[in-house]
Amino acid sequence: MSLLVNENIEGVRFARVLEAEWRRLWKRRPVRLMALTAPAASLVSAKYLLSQNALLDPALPEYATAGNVPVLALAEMLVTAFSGMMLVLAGLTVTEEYRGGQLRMGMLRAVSLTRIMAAKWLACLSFVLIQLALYFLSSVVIGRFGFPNPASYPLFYEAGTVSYAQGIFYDLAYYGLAALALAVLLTVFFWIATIGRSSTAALGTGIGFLLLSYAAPTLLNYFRPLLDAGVYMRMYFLSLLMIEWEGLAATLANLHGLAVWNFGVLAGYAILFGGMTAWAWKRRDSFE
Amino acid sequence: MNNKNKVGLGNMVRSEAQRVFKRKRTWAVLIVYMAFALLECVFLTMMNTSFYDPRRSVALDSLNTAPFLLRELAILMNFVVIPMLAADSFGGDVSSGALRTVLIRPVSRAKLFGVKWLVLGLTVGGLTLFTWAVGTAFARIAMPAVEETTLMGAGRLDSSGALGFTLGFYMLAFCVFSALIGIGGVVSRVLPNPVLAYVGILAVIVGGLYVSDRLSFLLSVSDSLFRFLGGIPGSDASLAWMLCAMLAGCAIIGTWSWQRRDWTQ
Repeated sequence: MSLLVNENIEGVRFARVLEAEWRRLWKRRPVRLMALTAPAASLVSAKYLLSQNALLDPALPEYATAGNVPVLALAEMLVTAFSGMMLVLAGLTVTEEYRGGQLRMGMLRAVSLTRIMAAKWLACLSFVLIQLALYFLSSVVIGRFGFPNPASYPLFYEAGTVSYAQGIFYDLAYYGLAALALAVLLTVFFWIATIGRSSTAALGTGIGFLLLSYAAPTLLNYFRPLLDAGVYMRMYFLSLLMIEWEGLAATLANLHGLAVWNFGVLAGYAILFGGMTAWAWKRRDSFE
Repeated sequence: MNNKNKVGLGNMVRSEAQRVFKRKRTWAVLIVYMAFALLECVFLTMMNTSFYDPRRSVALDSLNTAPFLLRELAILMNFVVIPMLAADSFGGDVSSGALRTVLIRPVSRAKLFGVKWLVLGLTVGGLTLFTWAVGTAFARIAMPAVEETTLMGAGRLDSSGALGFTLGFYMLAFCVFSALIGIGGVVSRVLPNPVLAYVGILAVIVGGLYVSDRLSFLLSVSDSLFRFLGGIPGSDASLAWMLCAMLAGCAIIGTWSWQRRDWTQ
């Protein structure tokens, strides 16, 4: 009886659930291996950027210099390596644990499914953000030692010319936006993992979502002559993938007033998919 | 007497096919693919132009349209259909434990690997044939009618020539798909967890680009096939050799590693 009085009667504290999920995440060998993704990916993209540099005019913003290597290297990896990483995380921690019955172990505690999922989302997001930070550090180092370092270089979308030190702040802002976009994409993947009947089906749907996010703007490109430039850009950046790929630089340059629009699109995705995920877990039978 | 103790190949194929098609997601992915094949036809009628590769465009007509369906559909095939089927069939059975029920019978693991490859190959082959048939039929109905056409790698072709060439094109594409299924079998041997197997297959497709341009045909199937058939010098000229090496490599590594499988694995 005295035990009951002293314990927290409302259930397990959220911090404890989060800690459990964080530890469980790291107990997976594939996840531990995945922690090496960021440094490896930054090496691969540095190699690619060096080969591209040979073909480019040094006056172009696409020409890789010490200052813009972190941005250039992230643009392609954000849609490939980081998306893949998050798909694996969502597939392993949500679909597989729920459909495989492992989750029941976690539910021995007095904690709701919604809270467990929130904890899982936070744990996965922390993992991805740590990877993003690692990626930033390694590409800054690679950029400093492996690439030319001119006194100043141009930014994307004619956003001005900056020195190395100013450029690093630009890079940090870019990575901040990237973190936001990753959090939104992770929310989408969590919804897909929630409704997926099996982990492969969830992954297939996730890849399908990415392919559609790529195909729709490509298709839109054919109708470009019919549309006003501002309207076209707005429709183009309705796709989450395009925001990650080109939209972050466009947001920072505030091209066609896109900054507000892109934040709005991100918020829209987050509210829609976050809401649907929370709703799905709230009404789901714990012992289904 | 001895015959009674062996499980016939026909029965193994039937049993594997049953398992593949008892999964609802197999049907779902087949239906999605077919729906996209029809959408692709509508897309091509709207555009009336397609591309051999990013530098060479081509005007579509009633005879030459069929191969160009694959330009977009091969991405769906290689990124969704094949990884999903392969991860489920090669990896999913093992990690879920379903394989043990199969192994109650005296069957060799190597044969099982071959049967899995065969069944997935037939399924994907069916889809490939479907794409060809839909493309051919649709082009004759909806595209500008012509008596003769030109296709890169074949020159001028009449109606039956075009039919033969496009069928050959799809057969070559089918070889690429079969190679990817084989890769799926090998990847799943290393990573039986379906999630990891799926991503592993994608990693092979994308990672191949960083290894050598000669492996780019797994990513850009139709562009590479056209460059190969058109005899354009470059990384795709060796496509046939690479494909044979890949098929043989997967067959050897696959049979060998599956044969060495533990009972519980």
